[in-house]
Amino acid sequence: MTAAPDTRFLTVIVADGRYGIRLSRVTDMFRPRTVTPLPRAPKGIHGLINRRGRVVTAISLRACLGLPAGEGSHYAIGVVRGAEPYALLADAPGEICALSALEPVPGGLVCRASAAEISEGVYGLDGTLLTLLDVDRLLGLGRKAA
Amino acid sequence: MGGEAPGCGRAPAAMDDLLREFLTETVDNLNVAGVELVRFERDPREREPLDRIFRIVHTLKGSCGFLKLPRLETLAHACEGLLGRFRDEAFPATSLSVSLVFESLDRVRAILVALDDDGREPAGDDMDLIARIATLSAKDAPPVPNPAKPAVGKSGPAARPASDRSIRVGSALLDDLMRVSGELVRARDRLAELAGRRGDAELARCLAPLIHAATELQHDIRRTRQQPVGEALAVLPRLIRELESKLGKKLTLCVDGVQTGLDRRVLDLVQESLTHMVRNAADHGIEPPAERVAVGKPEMGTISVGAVHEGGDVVIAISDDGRGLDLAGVRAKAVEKGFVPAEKAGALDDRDIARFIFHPGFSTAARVTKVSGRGVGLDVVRDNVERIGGAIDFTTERGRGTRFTIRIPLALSVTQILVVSAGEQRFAIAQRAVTQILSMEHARQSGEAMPLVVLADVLALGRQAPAPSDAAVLVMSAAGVRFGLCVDAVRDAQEIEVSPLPSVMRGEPLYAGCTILGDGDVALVLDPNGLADCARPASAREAGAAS
Repeated sequence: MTAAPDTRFLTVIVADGRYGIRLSRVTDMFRPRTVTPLPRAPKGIHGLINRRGRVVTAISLRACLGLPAGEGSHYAIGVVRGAEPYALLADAPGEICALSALEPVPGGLVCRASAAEISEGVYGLDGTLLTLLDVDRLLGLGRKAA
Repeated sequence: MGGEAPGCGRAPAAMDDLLREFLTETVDNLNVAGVELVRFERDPREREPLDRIFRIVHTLKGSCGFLKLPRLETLAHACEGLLGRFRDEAFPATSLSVSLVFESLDRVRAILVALDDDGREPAGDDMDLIARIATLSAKDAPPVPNPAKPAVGKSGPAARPASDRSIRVGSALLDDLMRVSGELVRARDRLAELAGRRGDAELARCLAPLIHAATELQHDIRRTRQQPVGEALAVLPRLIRELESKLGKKLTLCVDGVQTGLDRRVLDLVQESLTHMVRNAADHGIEPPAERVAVGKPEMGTISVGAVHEGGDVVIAISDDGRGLDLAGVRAKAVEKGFVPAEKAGALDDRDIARFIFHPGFSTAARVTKVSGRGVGLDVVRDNVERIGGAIDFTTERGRGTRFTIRIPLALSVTQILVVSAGEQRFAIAQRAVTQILSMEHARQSGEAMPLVVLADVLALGRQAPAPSDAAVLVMSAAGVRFGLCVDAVRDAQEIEVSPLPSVMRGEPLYAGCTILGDGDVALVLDPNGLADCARPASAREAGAAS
């Protein structure tokens, strides 16, 4: 362990955007074999996944960000809330970066309205924009709607 | 306990463990104390129950001092003083004084609950209780100077039953073991199927011990979750005592099969139903003393509760020697409430009539009593029992009594299910709720009109095209409704473990939980009761009209 986990974050690709998730919240990353749809579920809940014998609730980042459903396979980022496991579905994983590499963005720039509710803020990273996601608020979405 | 946000300002971890240990032990001890207190009141000359309660309260006081729980310590001290007075026979064990001990134990329990939630004692004090204890004590001799002397020379087996041979393990760990063993069994099954398909004899030979070991492992882990039924029955003596005074009846309780093991979660879920049934038996079943004497019965009514293992189930029987069910009354009531038209009621046999007592909104008590009240009826008990995969039934004989039997699965989580499909998705449904499976063709021809629930429609699965040719109708009965569930196909029957729904779906009436099927995919487990609600008039459709 070179650095405390909360100094770093994981980037993921969703549609054409880059998003960040604090590494301290990430339990594992995997490619889900199959996702069972969950009829009557609140918006944003994509379905259920068997992750080593445990039923994990899959949340679609696309749906949470108000983006159209994507094609192809998902990539799952495991997080927990309380004792309950969740998987955040992204299009592809990116890399692990230090939080200190994030640069403040000059005023006036905001992320899309749907993202504002679930993000900690928008930053610059290597010349592109990155939205740092707030996992607790993200997981709270489904609960609120339920 | 999971799920809660970690509280701020909690005691350090080492203290937490001590506290947890203390909480678990004290709750167990309080249960014992409750039972013993009733015994003591029945026969104050018997010393053993009182000694045991005294020891429990004394231990509690000591632990509180050590754990720095001043509020509990003060309360325990006052309670110990009162018990000491009983023991010195300075003091008669009146209903009033025993009730005061009960109240103190209840208060202790309430404080423990708060302690468990917050990690610290709740604010406030118990001067109200302590003052009453003091007033009561003051009527006789001076306060007890030596409350700290536990029963002399009585360190028998009662003090720490079996504790040397068992250890405490968090139930979360057992849940984890259960989950992992489930995954092992599923992987094993997939491998075995593969070996069979390939006709690979060597692989099959290697698999044999794995097949055996995985089954045994799962069986043993299930057993670790079992608790004696007696734990759920521990509250009953106390309940009977209260009922006696509230109802002005004389009651004895016979308990049998306390050692019968049952899954802890099932036990918790069934507890409420049990107390409800006992309350019902005392209130509606047992006659007032005068009436009993008049018909030549002993003045004291008997309520028996027994538990036995039967196959993969536990059967709990609650019987009373009371007046039995008034079938004529039930028949009249069913007509009056509009459950059945008057002209049809005459044709129904006794069995059908008797079943109306499980009908929502039915209550045989002519008057609303303090004890059984209104609202919570047998329908709720039945729903609760069915929800955990059980069944409730009864037999009754006029003038002789009524016997209810609650049959519940040994392990909550293991259920026989049918795998059905609708709109390209698979769902699981408990087999016990399904009475018959018909092809769509047969269902149309059978001529029996019953509400039809189309699974793809109620789940809004957006099915394309007409129903497939292997569409089937599952004839189900749940929550007192007989209905047909229309699915695209019945795929398979499996024995699976039901996991609770993820929290985003809690409260969704159509699902009872979720599960991992044999092939490793997750499937939703449908709730027959929720589906039955869809079959009720507003959304019901006649089978004949379905197209």
